Amino acid sequence: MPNRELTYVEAIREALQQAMADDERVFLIGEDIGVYGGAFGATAGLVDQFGEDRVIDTPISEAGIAGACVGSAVTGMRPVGEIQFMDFVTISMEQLVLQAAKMRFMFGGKATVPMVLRMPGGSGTGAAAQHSESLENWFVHVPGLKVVMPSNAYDAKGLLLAAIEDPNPVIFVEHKLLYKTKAQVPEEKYTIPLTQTKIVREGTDLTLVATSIMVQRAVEAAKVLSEQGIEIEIIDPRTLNPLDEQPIVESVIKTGKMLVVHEAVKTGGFGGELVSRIAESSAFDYLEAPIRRLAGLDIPIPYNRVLEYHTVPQVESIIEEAKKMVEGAY
Amino acid sequence: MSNTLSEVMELTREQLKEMLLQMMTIRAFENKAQDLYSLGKVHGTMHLSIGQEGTAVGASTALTNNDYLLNTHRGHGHCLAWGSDPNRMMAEFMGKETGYCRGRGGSMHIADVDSNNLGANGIVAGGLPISVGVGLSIKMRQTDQVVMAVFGDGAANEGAFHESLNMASIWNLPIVYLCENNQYAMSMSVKRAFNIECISLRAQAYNIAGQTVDGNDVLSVYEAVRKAKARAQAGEGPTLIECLTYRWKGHSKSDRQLYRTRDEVKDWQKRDPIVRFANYLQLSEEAIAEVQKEADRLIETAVSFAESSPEPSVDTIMEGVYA
Amino acid sequence: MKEVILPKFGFTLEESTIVEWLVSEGDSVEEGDPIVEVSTDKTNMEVEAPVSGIVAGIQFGQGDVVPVTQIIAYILAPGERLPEQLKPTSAKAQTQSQGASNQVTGNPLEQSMTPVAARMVAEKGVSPSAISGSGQRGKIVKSDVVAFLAETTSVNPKVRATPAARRLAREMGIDLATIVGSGANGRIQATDLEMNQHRQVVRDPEPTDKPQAIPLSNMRRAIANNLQSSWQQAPHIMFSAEMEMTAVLAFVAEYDGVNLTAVLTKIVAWTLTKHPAVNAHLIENDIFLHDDVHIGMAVALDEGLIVPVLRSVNQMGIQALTQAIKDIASRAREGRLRANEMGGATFSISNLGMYGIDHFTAIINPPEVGILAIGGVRREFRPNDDGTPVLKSVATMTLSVDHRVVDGAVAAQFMADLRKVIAHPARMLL
Repeated sequence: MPNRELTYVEAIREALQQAMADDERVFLIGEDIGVYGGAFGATAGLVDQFGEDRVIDTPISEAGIAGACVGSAVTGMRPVGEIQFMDFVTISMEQLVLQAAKMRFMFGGKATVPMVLRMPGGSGTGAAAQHSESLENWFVHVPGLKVVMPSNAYDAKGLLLAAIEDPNPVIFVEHKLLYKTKAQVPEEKYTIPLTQTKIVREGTDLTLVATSIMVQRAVEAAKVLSEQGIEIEIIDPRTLNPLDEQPIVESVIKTGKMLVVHEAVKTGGFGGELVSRIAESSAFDYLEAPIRRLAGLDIPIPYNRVLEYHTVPQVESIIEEAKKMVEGAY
Repeated sequence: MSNTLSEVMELTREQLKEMLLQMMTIRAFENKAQDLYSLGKVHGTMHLSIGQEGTAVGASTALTNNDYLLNTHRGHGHCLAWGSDPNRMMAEFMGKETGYCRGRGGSMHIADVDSNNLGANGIVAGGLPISVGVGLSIKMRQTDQVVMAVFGDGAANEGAFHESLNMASIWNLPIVYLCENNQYAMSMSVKRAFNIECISLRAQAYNIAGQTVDGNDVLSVYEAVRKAKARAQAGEGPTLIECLTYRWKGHSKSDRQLYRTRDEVKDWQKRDPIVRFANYLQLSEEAIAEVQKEADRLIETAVSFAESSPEPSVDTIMEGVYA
Repeated sequence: MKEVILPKFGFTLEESTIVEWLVSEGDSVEEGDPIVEVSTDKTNMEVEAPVSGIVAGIQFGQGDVVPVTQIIAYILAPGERLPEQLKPTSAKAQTQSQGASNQVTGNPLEQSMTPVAARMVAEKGVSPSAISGSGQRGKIVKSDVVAFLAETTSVNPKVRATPAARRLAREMGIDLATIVGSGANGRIQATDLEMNQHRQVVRDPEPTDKPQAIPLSNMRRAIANNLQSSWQQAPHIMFSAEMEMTAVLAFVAEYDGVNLTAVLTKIVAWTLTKHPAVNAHLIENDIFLHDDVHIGMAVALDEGLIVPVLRSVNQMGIQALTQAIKDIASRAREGRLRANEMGGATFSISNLGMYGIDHFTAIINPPEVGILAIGGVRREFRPNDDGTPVLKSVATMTLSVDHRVVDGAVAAQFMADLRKVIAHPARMLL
């Protein structure tokens, strides 16, 4: 079916459906994922197809959900857990950071923990400070975990199927505002390899590395900039850890300038890691300006819509910052 | 608590003697561990289970290597009782390449995934949520296995305990929750940390089977776990077994033990699970000495094996992070 | 007999201090009885008797610092005796204290510098004896070395340059201090080096019989593109006029510190203020008239043309202008122009008189709309008012204007006024 468009959330649902249909070991576990269909509808209808034994509604027990994934994965299953909001993963941290991530290494390379934990992050829904977190870099900081952040429906399906097939624990970070965005998504099952950075748009004047929803905002910004004669190169790492950094290094060698855009707060964010990688790389000798980060303000997400809007990078702020960099303001 | 042992008919004389050997081997291992640590031959920290040999051996005897074990930081005993090789345990303890975890885990993380020993855990209650997953997995794969999650009295006051036992109960999972109540969570006594008579009472809150047994009576532990396994296999769900026992040594090597009296320790030492079991078996002194000799020999062999084993190569440092 | 060792109590413990022996030699103890209190880095701990028996051979006294795993005493079985060699002796104690004092003294040279300071001293090849230390007991610390080096070596001022520019400078063997930066706050960008690179290549061509292909440098490419687009897009019209130079030459001869170029430039600037249509920019569909006159001075370099800008020439005195022209021309030839001197002219002048050129035309530098080409001064006979031939100093000047902006009559009027002022510079005072 050519030109078939799906929303991001539909693409995720289709990936889950196809993985479950093809592999009996795959099952879903989380809060309100059964008849309710998940807080954002990602699992809608799956309980009808696969039954309550494979689409398991849990009590409000995030440590339990994570532990259920760890324990079943290490004994041969392929669990896909859902944490209703990324914020709530704080309750699961012990199981993810101290158990799932470390088991293989700690046991001398023997155990495998093939689990996926999906969770929607990000602001923009007016849900305030405890339902809008972007905590991906917490997990980037933990060897043994893989961290994936799809920026569009096509990637979401292919990356989720790859994550389910991966023998490692994968933190799969979705974005609430992306759920309704559409892209062409093939009907057949396909995977996008983890740790494969994507050049979203080619350009010569600036390398812009963005994650999740910021990739889409960067693409919008690039259109406006292009009309003004500025051509930026947009790069989406897609998998934050382990990172495929070579395409970024090569791009910076080409453009001499690098801007990182992410929603998470700037201090301690993934941008710091990216910037360090470039500073340490062969691209350093090609830099023509200081590397810059455009990221969330160092504050919790405010409730007020105007304040919320100004807390994280938007298309306008990306345009402004990119322009300044290209024009040599720094 | 009486000092007699419960009668168990299912076990043969040979099996009973094997259990005594295991208990003595555990104590010999722990004594040796203490010596090696004092001598600086091992590093880090370690948690000795001297005085708790009855729970470890009783529980594992009721299970097979086809079942699963989730262990605690005070886990040498359960590991040996599960049937792990003292040589590879000692090598792990010394951080050697031949250890169960290639020297990456150490005392607190000894695991033998091949025999379904899913590892000791450095996090109090860390194994409890995992047990839910293992239980789910058993149920979904429709095998007749069970998983035993061992934890201490301290773990019963973690939030993960509640989440796990509740999930295990609502899904009727084949899990044996074995709470080793050794009276202290580091320095916090059970009397100060709980406002209930016994920890197994909490089973009622989850509507699962609960029982408190004399953890220094290896046979009553065996019997409780055997019944819990049968219950799990019959689809009757999890059981919470509380084993009353006592840790003779400090929490770890840097423990001054200001929270308890020497008299209290001596009192519990009179209920030594090994002495009680040896008396029960009515073995002659020579026979007991024979078993002790075998236990010591096993541990001496383990030390030689470990000491002569190679250190892990730094070249391999990155191995095993990702599959 | 069983040794009592000082146990390792914690992760990091290396040694403990004997606080107090709780038993004496000859006392009988039971396994597990505390026999000595020691203090660790964390707290006080008791060492327990490893077996039951008689305490003997205590090796350390109160206050002694003992490494972990050392034997501190023995426990004897009933009837057992401690072998003579295991009894602590005063000689042993002496050896220990000697060992300790050796450690403290150490090697005086090694003691006198921090590791960082030692590395810096080694790297810079400085004699440590020349540096006075400000650390404990005269130890030389990093800041001492830094201060010493600052005093004794002429420190290069920090050059601001991008990493890319630094790499190019390294590769090309160029001292960044000689380069003018065009980036933010005068930072040297890679393109500044590339301009310079071309300069180097042309200055020192490799001797060769074959024609050498010289790739267009960025600078040359910029010139080429600029001139081509100007010639293609701006319809040039040109107006030549012969200027009577006697008065200006007399002026130059009369005053110190002025030269002909400066006088002519000043006159051109003055005339431009009267003809704003020529002192203008054409940007897309808009014409911008300028009050100030910024003159681009075309300077011929070996590798190409560069047009540095003299700002607000209309407001400058001629002596100052003379200095400014000399300065900017020499810095242009040395490649040391500042970023703000590279653009923004409202009108340009090209003077090739020194090459003996009588008459030439020039191409406009967009977005400017005019450029004046100045030929050399010639001595020619010209008729005076009554027709008698008189020897006069004359020069031909040619104005190119962008016909899209400047009409012929406007340009002609400009040239006419210019001609009058050059003939009679005093008109500028009117």
